Amino acid sequence: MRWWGALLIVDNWEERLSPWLLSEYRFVADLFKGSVVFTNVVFEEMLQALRPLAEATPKSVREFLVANDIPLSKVLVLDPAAEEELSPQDLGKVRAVVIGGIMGDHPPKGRTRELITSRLPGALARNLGREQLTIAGAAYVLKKVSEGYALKDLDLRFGLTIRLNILNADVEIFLPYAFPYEGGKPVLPEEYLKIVAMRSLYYEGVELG
Amino acid sequence: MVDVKEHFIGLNLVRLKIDEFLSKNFVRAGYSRVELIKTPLGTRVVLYADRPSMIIGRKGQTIKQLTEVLEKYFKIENPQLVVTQVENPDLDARIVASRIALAIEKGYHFRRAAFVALRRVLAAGAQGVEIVISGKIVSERARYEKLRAGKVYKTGQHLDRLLDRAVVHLLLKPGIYGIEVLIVKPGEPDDVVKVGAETPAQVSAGPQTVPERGGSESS
Repeated sequence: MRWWGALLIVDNWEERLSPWLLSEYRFVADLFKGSVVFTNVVFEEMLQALRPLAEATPKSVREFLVANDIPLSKVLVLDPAAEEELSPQDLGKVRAVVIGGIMGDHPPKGRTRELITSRLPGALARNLGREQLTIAGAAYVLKKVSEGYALKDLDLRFGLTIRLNILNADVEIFLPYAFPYEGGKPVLPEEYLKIVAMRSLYYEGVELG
Repeated sequence: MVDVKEHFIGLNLVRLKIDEFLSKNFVRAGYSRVELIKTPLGTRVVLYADRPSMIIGRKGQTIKQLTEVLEKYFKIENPQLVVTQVENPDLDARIVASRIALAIEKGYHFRRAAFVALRRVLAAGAQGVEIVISGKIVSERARYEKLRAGKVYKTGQHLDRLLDRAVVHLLLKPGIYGIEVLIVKPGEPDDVVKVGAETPAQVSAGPQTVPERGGSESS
């Protein structure tokens, strides 16, 4: 099965569009070209930055669904706290899939359930495994499941370590999220590692000399 | 009959509770550790800190209150408090961790604070240092960053002698931050192997053959 034309709604809960978040949003917009909507983008600057990528609206996800005549029974929310795992059979019958655009707490606080699932009563809720995925990772896994893969057939690994050497000190950056792997390598947005590690080079190189 | 194990565990628990209490209340004073020494007159409580004056307080007000707290809540018999300056605060993990925490609280970038601390610890003569900062340190997304320089031992009996470790928690608006500092103090580790110079007799005897491990020896 291929992507059947359902909408992919990324419900934004961030106030600031950091380069890290933007790289993930760009990855999602490229992966589901023409089917992505960013909802709950309340800040004008963010709207301006996201509109070239995909449709962006300040409306909440619920308001957007009502405006587009999509009943809640035809909506699927990807919620790490959901009881059931996502399977390819879940996808064909829905008209919209919602991903929480929430940068993660570690350990997870269950904010997707609190801020999204609880506000969409009647919508299907499915998880993508036990570990918390990034927004880009969740979108990639969703794409794979829509192609017919079961979650257990996908290579999801917890944690990503970036190693740098700055001013003779070894710096290790660890991201406590699950990442999908393809051919032994993590699937990441373009220049992701550089963006995550970016501030180190700036602060240490420029400010400390 | 008093259970010996219970007695000593009880004593250590009291020490631990006092330590926790002091570390929470005297972060700004650079509190390091506490020693409790039983004397015939009562209990001598020695506090080690980076800035003893902040523990003593104006006209000894804070130390008087602290004496009362120790007597009333921790049931310490006639406590006699002594506050001492730590000899080398840059080699004390708890002081370094609390300095980083205070710098982050003031708004310094976390890595800048950590790098400054790292340089100071190494300049003070440490063999190695590792600083781990975790939490929502850059954006709304949690991660941890580990900075390491020099030799950082993680196993072996020499850790008792050489390693100093401390964890400090800091609560800010985005959430809780954890700061862990490991300092390997100056000293010789157990795994040092010294190869002596060959004696003239060994040189004249030529290279010695070493039987292969596990191989059978022919008679």
